[in-house]
Amino acid sequence: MEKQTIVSKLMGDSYFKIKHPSGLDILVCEMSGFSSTEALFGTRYGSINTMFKTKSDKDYTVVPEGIAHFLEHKLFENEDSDVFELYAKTGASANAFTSFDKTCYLFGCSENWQESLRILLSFVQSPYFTKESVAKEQGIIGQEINMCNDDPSWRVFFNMLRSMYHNHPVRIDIAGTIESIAQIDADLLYKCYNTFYNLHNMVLVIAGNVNVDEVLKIADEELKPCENIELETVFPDEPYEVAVKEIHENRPVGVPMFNIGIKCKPLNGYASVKAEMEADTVMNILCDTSSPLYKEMMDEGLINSTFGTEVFCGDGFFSLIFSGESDRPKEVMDRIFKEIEKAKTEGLDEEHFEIIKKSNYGHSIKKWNGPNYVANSLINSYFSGVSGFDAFEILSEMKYEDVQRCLCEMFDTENYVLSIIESGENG
Amino acid sequence: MAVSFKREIIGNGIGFSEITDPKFKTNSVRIQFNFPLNPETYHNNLVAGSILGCCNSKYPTIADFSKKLDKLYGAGIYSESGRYVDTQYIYTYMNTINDKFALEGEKLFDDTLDITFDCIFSPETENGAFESSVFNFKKKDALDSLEAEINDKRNYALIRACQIAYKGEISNLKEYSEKEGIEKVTAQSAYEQFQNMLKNSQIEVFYVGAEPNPELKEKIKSAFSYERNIPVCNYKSFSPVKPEPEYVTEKMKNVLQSKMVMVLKSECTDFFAINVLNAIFGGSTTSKLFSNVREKMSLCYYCASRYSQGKGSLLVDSGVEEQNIEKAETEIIRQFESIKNGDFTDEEIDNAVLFLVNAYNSISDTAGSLIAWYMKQVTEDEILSPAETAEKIKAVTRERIIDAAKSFTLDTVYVLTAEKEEN
Repeated sequence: MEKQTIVSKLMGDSYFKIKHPSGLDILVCEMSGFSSTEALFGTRYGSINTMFKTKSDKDYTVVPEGIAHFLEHKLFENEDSDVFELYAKTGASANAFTSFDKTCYLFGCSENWQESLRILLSFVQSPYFTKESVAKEQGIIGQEINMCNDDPSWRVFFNMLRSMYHNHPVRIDIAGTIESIAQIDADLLYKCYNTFYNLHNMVLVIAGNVNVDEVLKIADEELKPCENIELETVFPDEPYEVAVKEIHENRPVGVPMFNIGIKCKPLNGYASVKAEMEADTVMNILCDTSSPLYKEMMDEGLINSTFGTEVFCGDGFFSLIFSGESDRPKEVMDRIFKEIEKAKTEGLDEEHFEIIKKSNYGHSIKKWNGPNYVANSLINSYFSGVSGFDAFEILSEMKYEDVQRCLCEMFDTENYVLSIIESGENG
Repeated sequence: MAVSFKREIIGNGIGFSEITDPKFKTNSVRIQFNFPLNPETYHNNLVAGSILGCCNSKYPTIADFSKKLDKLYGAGIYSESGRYVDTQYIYTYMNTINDKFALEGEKLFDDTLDITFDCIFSPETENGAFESSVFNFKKKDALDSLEAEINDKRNYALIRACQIAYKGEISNLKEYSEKEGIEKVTAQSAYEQFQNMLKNSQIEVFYVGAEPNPELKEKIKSAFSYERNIPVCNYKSFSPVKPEPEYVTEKMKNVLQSKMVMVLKSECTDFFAINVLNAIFGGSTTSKLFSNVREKMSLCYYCASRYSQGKGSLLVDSGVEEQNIEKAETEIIRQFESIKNGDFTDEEIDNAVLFLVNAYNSISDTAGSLIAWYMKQVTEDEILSPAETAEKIKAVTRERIIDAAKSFTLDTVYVLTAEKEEN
């Protein structure tokens, strides 16, 4: 069994990466002194993966929207028991989530992590879908879709994505729609399960009060080896330009909410993580709380404390988002874009860059100080195709020239979407 | 577990809690001022509390302040005002990485502590008032937050249910004319109230770090050595139950999923038994509400309960389709009645206890959860560690759970549902 120790010289932390004979990658971070354990068993399968094939398929399969999330719900039902009833015996707190590009099943506990790990590995590898249970779940997920649609921050974000992307499935709501989930049946669930829940497409991450040898012993006993089916996922062609530049929706909210998105060319693996760190740094220099722009917008009552920035990226998509609440969101956008163009010609503030670098170093150390953050960080890094400490090293080696280049290449103020939700006649 | 907790009263009635564990890479200090809730002073304290952590006389703008903290490797300083039962509080919270991680030997903790003290004792002012641009920003924040309550429908429903359940009580902020009260706050009135609060509050300090810090204790003692009155703060105020339950339905446009919140009240003080009761009833993924109302009967998308110890109330909140509201309400009540009748197994008790014990034993893993734990503990008659509480939970009997359940009475049912468009 191939077992590597990945070390961060800067932070002094480390974790093990093991290529298990079953095909699964396993990441273990032993954290001495901590009482709790956090484990995630994840698959590279999210809402964007609607078109795929394996080596035994002639053509690509296209599936309804929301099926990855539907599958996540169904896996909690074993043939002869409910998974939560199994976890009840160990006391673990269990959950799962589906995002755009992954689905993860997780637990957190302070006792009996070995038994909880066995449950986790067992139930995720044991699908059981019937016509009746699928029909029941359609009702439950229908309620979840409604609940999310009641959330204006969810709506303003997805309205932005739908306007930004012509074809890429990132524009689809993660849970799908009432209409799309009505097309899901047990056969389709098995097809997607057998394609994506192959151990070569998955990872187990566990951090905290654990021992790597015990983890591997349990893995040896519980994992069912499988062959590599050479999974391929594809996405429809996506133009560089946004689809629609502005979208407004009326519904009851306090202050109007906005998302300003700049669409960028997508990247992969290490390059994407590097670009993400650089773009995040650019956004901080331009408009974090220590920037002149923030002070200007604050003094004029254009923004409140909800104002923030985010780099949103993944397989086939990369965007920069400025969000918050404002009575004058268009003016906020104009100010931000003016600042971007000014910085392209005059250069970003180099002193501010150096200060942010120092701050990022401190934040990285603060965060890597608990099993929950460590486990989630490791799984996100894994699915991004980088090691757990790569982001930290990218930040520490970042140069001013890197962020200036990123600003000029990625911050295209012509390629934007302004999404607004405000109370109005119908809201 | 290596977590060490020590609390002593220092100086003029200051509670100083020191929590240490070598595994922590950071140092955190929370300085909290507690005083009785009062509608006359609430709004000024609210705004003042939000200003403290933004700037001070040495770093007089948010930009200068943020830049300084960034230079200290991303040190954090925050402040806020909050409420616990009948007590309002203002706190500052600072957080730094350990000095050993500083690349040039900087004294991060001491520098950040000095900045925090300046925030408290030397805020940025002009003519006896808070500096106007920061004040205006924070006042707008407070008003915007109030308006944004409807954005999160689940939380909004909880707020409204509590407003109805706790009508006429000191802790019911909704009776404090929140919007009008905040609008009346001025930079001067907030500053004057803040100065008054410094002289009339009970102070609790919580420190979490890798090792003890005796210098901190002395600095705290010295900083707060001025003459102070220490008010009596009330952390328990059981809400009286109405003779008949009150039912309120509110309609709002564009609501796709209805929300229902039920409030049950009790004067029982067997809090350990109530916590086990809550875990059995609706406070875990093996609870009666989760297993039956959600999973088996599919009546709600979510259905959970929580216990508000200070008010002696159990709150059940659920996301439910409009056509299922009545059925869900009936079933939730039926599940609670079943516990009163002893209709729960030893296995259900064991599962609830195991779930709670697992949660308690995880508390020592983050500074934030340790501070939150002990912040509540110092308001109790006896301070218990998470491990000690876990032992008390394990000792709870079936009879105590039943007695606790029987002590609860339904008081309020609040429903938020869709306003239908007229044809």
